[in-house]
Amino acid sequence: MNWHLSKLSHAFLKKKQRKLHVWRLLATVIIALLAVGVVRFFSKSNDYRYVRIELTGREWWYGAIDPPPWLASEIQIGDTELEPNGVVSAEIVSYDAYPQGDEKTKFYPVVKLKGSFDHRSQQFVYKGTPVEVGGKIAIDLSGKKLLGIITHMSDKPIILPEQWFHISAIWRSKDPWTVTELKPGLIAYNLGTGQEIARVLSVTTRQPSSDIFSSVAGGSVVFNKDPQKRDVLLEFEIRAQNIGDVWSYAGHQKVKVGEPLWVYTDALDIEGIEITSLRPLDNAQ
Amino acid sequence: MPSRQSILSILLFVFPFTFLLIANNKLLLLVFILAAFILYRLKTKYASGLFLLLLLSLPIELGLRGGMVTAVESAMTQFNLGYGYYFGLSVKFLLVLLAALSVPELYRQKSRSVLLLSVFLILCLVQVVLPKFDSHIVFGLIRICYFFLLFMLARYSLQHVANKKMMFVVASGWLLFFGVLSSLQFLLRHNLGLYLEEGSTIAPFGYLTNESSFLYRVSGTLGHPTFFASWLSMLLPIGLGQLVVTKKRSVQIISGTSAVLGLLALFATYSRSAWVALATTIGLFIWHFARDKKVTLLLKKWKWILLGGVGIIVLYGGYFFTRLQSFSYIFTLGSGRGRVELAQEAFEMIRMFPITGVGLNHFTQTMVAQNVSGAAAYFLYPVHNTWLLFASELGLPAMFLFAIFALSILWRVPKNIAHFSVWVACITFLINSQFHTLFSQDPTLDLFVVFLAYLDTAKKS
Repeated sequence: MNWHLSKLSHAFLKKKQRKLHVWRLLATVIIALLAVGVVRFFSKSNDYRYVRIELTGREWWYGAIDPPPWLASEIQIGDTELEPNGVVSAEIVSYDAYPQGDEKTKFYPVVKLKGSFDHRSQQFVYKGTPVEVGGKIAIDLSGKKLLGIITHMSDKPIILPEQWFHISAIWRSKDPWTVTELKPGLIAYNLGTGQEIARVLSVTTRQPSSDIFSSVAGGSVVFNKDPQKRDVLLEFEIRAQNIGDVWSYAGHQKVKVGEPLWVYTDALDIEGIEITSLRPLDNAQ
Repeated sequence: MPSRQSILSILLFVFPFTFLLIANNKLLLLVFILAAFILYRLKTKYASGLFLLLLLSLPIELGLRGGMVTAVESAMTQFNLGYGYYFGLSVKFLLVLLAALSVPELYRQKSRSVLLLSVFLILCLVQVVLPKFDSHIVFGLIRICYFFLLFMLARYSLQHVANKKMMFVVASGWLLFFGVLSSLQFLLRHNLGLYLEEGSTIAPFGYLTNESSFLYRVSGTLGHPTFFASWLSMLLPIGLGQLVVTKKRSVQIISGTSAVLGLLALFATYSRSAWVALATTIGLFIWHFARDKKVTLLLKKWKWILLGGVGIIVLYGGYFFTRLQSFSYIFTLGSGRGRVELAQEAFEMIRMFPITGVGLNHFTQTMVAQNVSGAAAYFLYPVHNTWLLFASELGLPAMFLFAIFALSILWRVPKNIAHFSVWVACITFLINSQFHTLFSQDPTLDLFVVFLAYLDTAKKS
């Protein structure tokens, strides 16, 4: 009888102990995983990449593909995006800003991103999203939101090769008040760096090459030169950047003979001039 | 002289109406500090007090700190930013944390449900060893741990009959508050401008149906009408059950008013899934009473509700049928195609990562990396099914374990009307969760977990 009782109580205790072991095991696993999570989260090795971004507007449906000009006064070099724990996850290291003729401005910030490199997919991941040239990106600086498309990506700070060009160009059939304002010494700036990117060297005018429909005399159409208008021959220097093996002015305008060029100086917007000749200058010049 | 319990019941019942006065996060905190002080003065036990405060704070997702951090990154498409979700340290998170640190009895509970939930927690925590472990996963895990601790606190507290009763009082108070608030929103056709109206920041002029001739949808204080509808779907069975159980005339009037206003609010959310859940609720109650051949008793108790329902149909039937018509073009103009494509995206993720999932809060980014189709891009959001979201982000084992945990509690249909109403509330969650993402941005899953804890303890009583 006693033997049976002791066997029963032994079995009961064993079962109870086994149950206790299960609970202890569960608690240990939970605590261990939590500890691993904390250690991994706070000791995570970070990778950094530099990206050059062409900023885009947010409200695409009413044509605001380029961001508005007031962003230029908001973005500062050194602006940061912070993680919940206060660690910097993105920082603006430099930026180019080129005003456009309308109410828009082209922005090209270079941003240092903190993320991790996924060796499986061979992708750099920032805020859970792969960073790819051509891909979209959103950066939440303190109080400012930047949206854009990535144009360049590198391990090192992105500095595009630059070259000064001497350009001859023609601006056809301009009104007299425009011609009056067009003077040597007009300068266009990169609003991001404050650097000069174009300077008018000389301005000469001549009779317009194009004719205008003037009157009908005896059934025949007569064309005349408009006495008000002048063709303007310009000499100036511009700073171009090499983007995809193409020399480009103000971020997106091709610098080639025959191509149109828009140069937005502080006093006058020189729009749609045609390049007639160009030669690279020694950068030291 | 009213007893302490009566005073406590009245205070808990009217507490939600203080939210009409809250204008900023400091006042929000102050209201809860005052509530804690009153509970202390009424000699409520510490753990019970924490639980009651937690119940009162359950629908508030707003963070106490001004700054919110991103838990789910915006997954941009060609044309818009897509879905993003922010995380803030809310009152309920603080209370759960406080309970976790100061009530050791929570961890002494041992039951099948606790065992299943613990294993579920472990399967979720496995995410810390995944290669893509990042802050988004951390925020997701914080939420999972919160649910675990919420269940433990609720289960521990609801073992006391007094707390069980108070849970019904709080739920009834919420039903009346949300009924009044949303009826006003519906009649005025705009948000009321309250600080706690989360929808105001996302849709300042209120939400409209994107089909069905743009009907104005109420969202209470929650972030979206569908979340609010799911929340109301869970409160309504409690109100309807109370109406059947109670014998006091005054309580009957209050419960009846709450239920009618709740019905109007649910109608005005224009959530079709919530309407299905409501129909199921009514059907389940009728079935329950039909078993004992007491359907006439139920109809007698519900006569004012039925009258209210008919009144709503008579007054606003046009809107009701306009919305119902949208079922006929759900796969053309409606959201049906987007929903199916999102489900396909989820199945693709499950196929690729069946064990661990793609990582908590990573659905949208993974989806963008996959071949996002047109409809899904327009509808860019996590998959509109809570269980598929669990399966795709946490893996199949975790999803099945959570399902087993819930079903192990819901398996038996309670006979007691009060318990039965809670059971029906849980069933409405199961219905709504088939059509919505009820995980990270609304309090419905919180209430589901509390109700599961209730039913788990009710099995013994």
